[in-house]
Amino acid sequence: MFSETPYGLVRPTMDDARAAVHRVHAGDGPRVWAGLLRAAGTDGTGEHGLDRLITAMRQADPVSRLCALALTIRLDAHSQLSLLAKELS
Amino acid sequence: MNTDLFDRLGVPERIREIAGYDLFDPDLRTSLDAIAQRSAGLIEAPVALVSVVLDTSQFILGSHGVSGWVAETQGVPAEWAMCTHTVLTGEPYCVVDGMNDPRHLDNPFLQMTGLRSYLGVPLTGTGGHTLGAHCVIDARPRIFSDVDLAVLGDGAEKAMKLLCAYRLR
Repeated sequence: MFSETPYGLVRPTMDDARAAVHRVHAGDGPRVWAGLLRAAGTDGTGEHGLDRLITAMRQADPVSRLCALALTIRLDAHSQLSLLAKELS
Repeated sequence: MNTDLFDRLGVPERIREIAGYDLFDPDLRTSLDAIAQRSAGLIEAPVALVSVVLDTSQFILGSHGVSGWVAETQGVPAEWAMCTHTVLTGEPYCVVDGMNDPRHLDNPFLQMTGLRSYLGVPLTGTGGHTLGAHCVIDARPRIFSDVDLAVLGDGAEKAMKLLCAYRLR
């Protein structure tokens, strides 16, 4: 069995994406978030829409693109470290 | 996730300033790799980075000596990145031995990579925000000199001049 939080790193969720978009867009956050959900075709609940949401963020304004980049780095780090942990177990 | 840290890093004006640069241009990466390689060589360190610290992750723009999953992801979670400290203080940041430094004892990145010492200087944008850092990292405990700091300062100045040439209109 291997950890789902390798080295304490938690896989980002839809809630984390929402928090990030609201954080970097400040007062404009709710409007930007609603637009991203529409573009991704998701209601923001559940985790199955996270990939589509990040794709929509990559195609949006420059600040949302950076937000997507930061989340992608965390997702990739989580995937890579989970694999490493699995190999070591 | 580490909400307080991410709020401190995710100041909208700072993120907007970072977003004003074309960070994905391959020529920019090549040039920043050369700056990292030069600093690593002069300071005799195995790893050097030029990076920006976003709200939740460090994004590596140019590097020397980076391998494994960090090279694959081109970044590190912000709470693990030593450059996060450089960005938050806005001043040069030095770690002589992370394994014996109370500020970094609980950082799993040091445990997993074996990296121990760090010297970083801020990359300050024209808007006055600290966007990222230029740093060297070593696998041995190390006391860095004023000359090392000057080399990094020179590299950071060159990196910011380059970045300014890649500002989006």
